[in-house]
Amino acid sequence: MPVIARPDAARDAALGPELAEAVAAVGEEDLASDLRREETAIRLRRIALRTHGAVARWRAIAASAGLPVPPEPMVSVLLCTRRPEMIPFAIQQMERQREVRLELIVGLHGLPAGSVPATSLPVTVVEAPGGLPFGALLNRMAAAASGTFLAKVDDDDWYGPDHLADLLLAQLYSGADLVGSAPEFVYLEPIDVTIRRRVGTERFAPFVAGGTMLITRAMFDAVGGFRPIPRTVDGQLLEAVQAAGGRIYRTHGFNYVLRRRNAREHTWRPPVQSFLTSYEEQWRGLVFNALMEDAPAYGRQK
Amino acid sequence: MRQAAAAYVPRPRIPLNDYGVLGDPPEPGAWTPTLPVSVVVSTLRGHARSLPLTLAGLAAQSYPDHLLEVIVVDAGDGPPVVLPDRVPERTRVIRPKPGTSTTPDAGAAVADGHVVHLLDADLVLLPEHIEAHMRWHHLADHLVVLSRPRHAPGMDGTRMDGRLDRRLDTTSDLRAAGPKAFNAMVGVPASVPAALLRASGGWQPSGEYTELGYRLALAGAVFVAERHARSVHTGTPAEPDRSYLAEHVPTLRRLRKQRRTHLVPYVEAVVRVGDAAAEDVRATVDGLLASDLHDIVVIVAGPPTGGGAQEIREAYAGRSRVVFAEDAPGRASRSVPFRFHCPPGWVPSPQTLGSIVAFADRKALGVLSLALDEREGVVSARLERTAAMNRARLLARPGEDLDDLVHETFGTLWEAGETWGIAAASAPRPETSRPGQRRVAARRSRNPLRRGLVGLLTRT
Repeated sequence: MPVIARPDAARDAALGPELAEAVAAVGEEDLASDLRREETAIRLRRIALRTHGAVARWRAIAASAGLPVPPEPMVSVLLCTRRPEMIPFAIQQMERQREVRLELIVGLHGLPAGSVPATSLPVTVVEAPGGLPFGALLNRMAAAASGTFLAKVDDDDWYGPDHLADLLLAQLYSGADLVGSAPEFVYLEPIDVTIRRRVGTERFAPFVAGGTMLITRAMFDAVGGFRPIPRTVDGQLLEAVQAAGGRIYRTHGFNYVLRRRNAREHTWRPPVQSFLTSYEEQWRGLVFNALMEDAPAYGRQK
Repeated sequence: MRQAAAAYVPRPRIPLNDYGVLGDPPEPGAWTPTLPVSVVVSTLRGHARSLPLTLAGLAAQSYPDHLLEVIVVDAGDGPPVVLPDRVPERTRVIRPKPGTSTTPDAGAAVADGHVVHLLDADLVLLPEHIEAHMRWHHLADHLVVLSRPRHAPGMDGTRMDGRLDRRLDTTSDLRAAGPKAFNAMVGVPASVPAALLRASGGWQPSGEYTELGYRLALAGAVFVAERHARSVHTGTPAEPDRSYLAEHVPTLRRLRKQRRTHLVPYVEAVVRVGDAAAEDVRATVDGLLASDLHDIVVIVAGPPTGGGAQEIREAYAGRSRVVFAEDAPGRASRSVPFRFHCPPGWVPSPQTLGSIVAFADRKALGVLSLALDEREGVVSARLERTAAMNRARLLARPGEDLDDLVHETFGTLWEAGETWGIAAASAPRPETSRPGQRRVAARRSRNPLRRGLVGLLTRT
């Protein structure tokens, strides 16, 4: 049975106006399905952590005492691409990130300079010949980054506007060296179907989606960065972090949709049918959950 | 002839049989009808004595005279029908020539109306009967409206009534009946848009209403139960001919308990030959023929012209369940409820067809796609529900994707072929699964080195 909060002045005063309002707004329809329930839970805990988390509290106390507060940590977003047509799409998704201070490091892998459109974000462009291994280019990009955290994003996946902010929150409450999202939502481009997979989230786990890894600068340097090889750099980084005694935390996957492209465009393994042997839910077409907030539908087949 | 086709009727997208999306129909007397109706009164069972009552009831209808015509089909098994004094303004009698159809279809064929309203000459209608049916036909052009007559005292018909009443109660007047709604059509009164009746193949001489309902459902119909269209039945209701229904309505599974073929198959499997090798085609056809479902046919579409063609034809020359076609027909033929497309080289297990059809029924799916492999594109098999495909064809506007419409009205789903037991012909087949036999044997590799390695790996 869903528990719907009734008005309670004392409780609302303790929650604070923003969280009280959000709790009051939850209706039974927000808990009607597993999907809606989790969307609601993520929204509420986001507000709770930002209002009542230890760091938020210390900053609020310092500010109210008139003391200076340190700047928000900087996230350096590593966006590496071989596809000029995907760059505007990828940058647009980073422009709509909220509640986060970020800089963008764009790696042009065998692309001419000038492929990067104008953006309001601080951008550093790193160019490399197409022959340079992917991992080596990512390391060059990391060398140009100035953030406390490095976040790897892919040029063709979809990100909700709270993607980076939620990863930072997860890093705060888990204390992990590397955090990432679960690849719960996958758009299977060859058959135009979106699936949700059952992946355990909000736990320490060895795997996270490669396009969602956020790692502390310290751990990144400790493991020597990415392996300078053309493929499997994501998995190798995860292994290296574990080997170095670092911890990996997997948070929810509601801010991320993995795009499983056509086999002919990408050397994709596993094949598309293997995604269909176990799925939780399925939708026809490219379908986003509510937390994705109208992500740009670029590249949907029809 | 009036231009019945000129009248505009909306084409709303009704999910399954849930006509609740149409909203409440207008109250009798509170709306303006525009569609002409042809009432076809069948005197098949020699109800010459009750015909005057039926016609008098029709003459007293609230539906506008200028939109109502009555066609009495004289079965010709007695003296010619003579019209009594009190009849609707436009009433005619047709007496089919001996040797031609004397069924209501003969009446429907000459009907001008947008809607054909089927009656028997032993029914007496209350004044708002036709209007109550017709208000629905103004809301959508693919509705079949059913109403249930009361039985005159002393007549035996209560047993069937009770069954139908319960069915209407448990399905919210058929709204929740899904793809099986058609079997509520057990007799008259029933009204059908003329175009839909033609698309369904029309009336058949057997006179089984359930079978007509089945074909209307395949043509895309939605079935509405109208409780306010009242009528009284003065005759004895006919018992359905179960052996006829067993042959013609494959979805009445309880009538098909024997493991044999029937006139209308349950599943039509299509194997498109294309440039596939003969042995791949044969592997697929053999797999289909080994299905636990017996009432199926396999269409081998577009056999190649080379030497392989001869081999395939000879292999199945004596098999009545294998049909050769130049190319796969666009629509499922012969009132078949399901069509299964299977690419050559992929072999379904004996359980595959039965279980995917049951799954599609459980989920009321219109299309179930099964991904088999990914090469240049995705190789897939596909189960189509004829009713869903034809509903989509009915609703599609130019340029619209049929599958999008199927998804809107019935539902589509993708699954993996291996989940449902479809394997590549080249893959090692599991040995006949005798109970108690260990499955390990199926994984044995031909390569001795690999066989050794697999053994080592599975032990660890």
